[in-house]
Amino acid sequence: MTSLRIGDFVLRFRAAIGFILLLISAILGYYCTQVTVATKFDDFFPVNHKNVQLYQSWHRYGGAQTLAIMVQVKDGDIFNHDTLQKIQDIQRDVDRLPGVDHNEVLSLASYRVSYAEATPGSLTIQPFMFPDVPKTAAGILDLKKTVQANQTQISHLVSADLKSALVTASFNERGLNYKQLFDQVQDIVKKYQDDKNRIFVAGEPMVRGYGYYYEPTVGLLFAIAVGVMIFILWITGGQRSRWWAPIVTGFLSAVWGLGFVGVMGYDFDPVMLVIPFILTARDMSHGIQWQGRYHDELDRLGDKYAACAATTDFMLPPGLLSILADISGIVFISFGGIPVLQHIALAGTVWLAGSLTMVFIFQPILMSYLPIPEVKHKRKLGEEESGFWKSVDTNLDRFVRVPTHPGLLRKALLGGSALFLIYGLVSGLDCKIGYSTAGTPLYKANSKVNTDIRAIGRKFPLEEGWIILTTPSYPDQQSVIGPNVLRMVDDLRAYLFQDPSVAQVVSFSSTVSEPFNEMFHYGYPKYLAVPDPLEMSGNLWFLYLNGSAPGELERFISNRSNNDTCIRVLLRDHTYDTLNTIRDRIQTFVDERVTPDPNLNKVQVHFLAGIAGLYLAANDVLYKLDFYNITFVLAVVWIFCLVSFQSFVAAFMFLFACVLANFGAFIYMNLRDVGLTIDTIPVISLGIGLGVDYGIYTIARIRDEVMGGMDVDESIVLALKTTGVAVFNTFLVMIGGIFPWIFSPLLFHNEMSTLLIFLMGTNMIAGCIILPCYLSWARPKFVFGGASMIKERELKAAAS
Amino acid sequence: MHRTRFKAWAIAGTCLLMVAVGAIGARAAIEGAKIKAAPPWLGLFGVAIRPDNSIYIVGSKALLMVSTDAGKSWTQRLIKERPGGDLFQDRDLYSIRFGPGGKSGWIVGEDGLVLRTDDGGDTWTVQESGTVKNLFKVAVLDDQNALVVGADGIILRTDDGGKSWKTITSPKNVTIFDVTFVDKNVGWAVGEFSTILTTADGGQTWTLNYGGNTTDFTIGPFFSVNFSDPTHGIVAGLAGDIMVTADAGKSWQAKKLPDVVGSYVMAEDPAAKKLWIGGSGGKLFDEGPDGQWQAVDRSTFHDLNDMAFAGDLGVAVGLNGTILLTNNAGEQWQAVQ
Repeated sequence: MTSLRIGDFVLRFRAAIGFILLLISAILGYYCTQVTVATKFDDFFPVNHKNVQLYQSWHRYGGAQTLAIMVQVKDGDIFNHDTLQKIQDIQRDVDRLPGVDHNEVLSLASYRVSYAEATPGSLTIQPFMFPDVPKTAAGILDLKKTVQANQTQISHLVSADLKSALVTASFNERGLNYKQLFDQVQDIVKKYQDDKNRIFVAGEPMVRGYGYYYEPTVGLLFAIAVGVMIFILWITGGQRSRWWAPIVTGFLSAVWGLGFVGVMGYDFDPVMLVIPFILTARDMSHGIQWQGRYHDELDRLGDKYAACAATTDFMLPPGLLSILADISGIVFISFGGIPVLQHIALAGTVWLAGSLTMVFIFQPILMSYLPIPEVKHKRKLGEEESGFWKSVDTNLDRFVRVPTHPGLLRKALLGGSALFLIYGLVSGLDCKIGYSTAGTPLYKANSKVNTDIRAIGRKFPLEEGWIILTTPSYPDQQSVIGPNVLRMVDDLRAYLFQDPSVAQVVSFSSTVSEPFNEMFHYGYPKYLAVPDPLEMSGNLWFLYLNGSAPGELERFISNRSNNDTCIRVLLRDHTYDTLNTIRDRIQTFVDERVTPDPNLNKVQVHFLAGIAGLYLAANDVLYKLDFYNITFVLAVVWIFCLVSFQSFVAAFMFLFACVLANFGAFIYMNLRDVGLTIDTIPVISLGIGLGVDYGIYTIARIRDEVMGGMDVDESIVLALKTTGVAVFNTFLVMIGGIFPWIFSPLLFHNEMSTLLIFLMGTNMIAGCIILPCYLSWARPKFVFGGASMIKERELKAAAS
Repeated sequence: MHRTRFKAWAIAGTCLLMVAVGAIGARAAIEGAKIKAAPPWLGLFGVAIRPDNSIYIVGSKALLMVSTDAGKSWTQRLIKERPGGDLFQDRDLYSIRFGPGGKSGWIVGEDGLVLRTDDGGDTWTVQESGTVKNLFKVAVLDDQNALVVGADGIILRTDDGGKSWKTITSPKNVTIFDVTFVDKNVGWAVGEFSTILTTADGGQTWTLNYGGNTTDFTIGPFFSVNFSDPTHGIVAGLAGDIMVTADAGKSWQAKKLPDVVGSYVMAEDPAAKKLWIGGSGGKLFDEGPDGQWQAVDRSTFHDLNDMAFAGDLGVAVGLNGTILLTNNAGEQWQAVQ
């Protein structure tokens, strides 16, 4: 088995190798200081998806990052001077926020938000409440009546019950400082909130900004988690004087990983802190495994150089295997084309490669320089022990013999795991993609950000999807203001409204053309229809262009040639079902209404851009990504195990363990209603490889012992008592480190930590109990073939 | 043998079940979908009450809603106004009126659309109107005679139940918004530029009674007209402007409603002998016994387009799916939500 002799090589050149590794660490250590903590909105969506490209090419129709501030009165309605003044003040303050698109700050007080009125011989267009807030009671009552009479036009800014008003703003994506923006918006909330007026805030900039808000708490949890890990490390390995070695390797690989992030110039999103944490914990668990084996070898060989070399030889292959499984878990998430996942994948791969180097190369070098570790207290077999340790030993002994006893318990374990697998498969097929609830799953349902999103969502639609039409230029009959095109858009609007998740459809046709046609015809309601013929439509377009604020027309039609337009579909939420249904409906409409109509043969319908389109793009990619990811990881585990153990049975056995654990994860996700999102997929992907090594280490040890001539069942018992205990210690350290995250204010941390504990628990049970059960019951050749070979060899030797 | 019989029963049973399901399905197709209220994204333009008190409402995108229980529940009926599968291209329906017996009736609408029923509104068939202009109002004289007015001075008349529609020349090429008949011969129509037209031969020929100066764009339109008897009539227009006559249109007296309003509908409650005006912003007025108009508490802020009365039951319809109901001859109006 130990033909590799890499341990000897490492120790022979330990000074040079150690120096190089420390030098690299020092350089990367410098780059660690260059890492910026920031969030780039664009990075969260797949760059190659047509929705993202569509959004980027039609960016002129506004940013997807919309801020929404809602003023809600406790009693009465918003039509009192105090509240109206607040709306105007907030409008002005929002217009001063950094990165705001000044053309896209809208409220009742905006000069862009206007209504049209027909009087004999004229048509007047005037803003609702600009430049001044009405001061007299009569003026306020007039405003109220105007708003009520034009409720349809202003429903996106004043709620139907007149108790809430919205100020919305769009932001330019590049260089948006979420922390600064978040703080300034909080200042606005503090400044204007009082006993009579409550203020709620929603929108993507707030969702990301809350990450910074929770930064101190998350930082504290990070410190607690590290502390707990070190404490458990000390508890489990403290009797040895080098128990701290895994901390050193963990730290150095973190330097490699974070240094790489600095070198590449990636941004570090504070919400994603849990990922480097898992990587460090992973690293430490490998370190513990190594230390466990090192001490065993030290006991056996008595010499630290020989022990270091032997441990390296023994531990490197399974370590390499399990780290490669970890890497394969994370590297494939880069294939989806989502920049943030690509960054995590690459940095994670370097981090894990750093782990491999530090734990299996640097650690033996470090150990070889340090004096032989002292064992402060060591219990010896046969020695009189205290009641507690005696009971621990008895129970452990009973426990480790479960797999070797062909009783009911073993059958139940094997049968139970088969049932678990089926349940997991069903849950896996039912796995949800994308967001399953309104608001953001990053934070808890009762967190301020989510209660605000819900409060606003009850009154105003927040999620916007864009349908872009490209057409010939005016005066072609099929330009965006051609009657046939306007009529088609009107049909689309009516069709989309049949879906209850559609709150509003804003288009040039319904918001400008038809009301203007009505107003142009004395306000007569039967003219609230598409203007016909083309010239009439053109005249109304010109009337609107001259009567509206600069830039207002550009919300609907981006240029004066009238060859593109944006139809905004406002949705009540961004759940997977809502987004998919809306896309399917648009497709049906295009197929049945647009494509067959010869009067629309030059019109192209592009969908879906806007924030809804971006989420949809992410969902599409995540769906495929998760499927490919699991397939790739399982394939890699299978191939590695095949090569390493040179056995198909072994390969399938580990595949089974891996599948078992991951299906367990699906069961958990299904029960907790956790969906695959851009936020959850890196953690889930990492989790796929996480803990596969438990089984690999244990089975490798059993196999080593059987090869060494030991009886099969005895090998299992020994492996479980030695490697199994080390695996359990590893598991404890990881759990200890992950457990504090359950108390994070972020739902994402909370759910992911529970998921990981669940995943690793299942992996440990699979690796340390189910697989040994199977080995003892089925006696596969890849382990026991060795035993028969040895027996054969012994018989031959005896014969000769 | 026993088995064969069982098989036969099974097949027969399945067939019966399929027939039953099919029948329910077919009935559903005729009945249409049950709805609580009108879709708020659609405008309602016309309403009529049949002698059996069933309410018929028409609106945008070929919407036809029916209630047979005084507005408590509604059924949306599909009108297949064109052959083929182009359901998306349904036109707006602007006006609905039934004949005296309630069996015959017409719907008129966008792009010259005319629909006729002979079975009290269960089925509707498209009639060739010979025009693509928008037809805003229909007045039914009897089962065979009806008159339609609309955009750009269009006036259509039939005397054969709609088998053929004859275009009548209007003395003024202005859009006509409303038409009403005092009896089978005398009728009135109003439109742009304060135009008032009148007929004495059942709508075969029309003469200009008032207005019609198409060179002065400051003159507002009249949207609605009502004659409670051959001599007393009212026309209503923009900005709360109304005109009344007490001498069969020989002279008109300008008056004002108590609020600034576009009066898109004027309707008489025959039982209460009361006149109503509805219009922009959901404003509603009734005429007191002294001939003074008073504003009624608003139940909606959406424009009202048509009203109908039968006994104590009254219905007003408007934009954004607005339906207002009264069960006490207009003492209280309630919006159907």
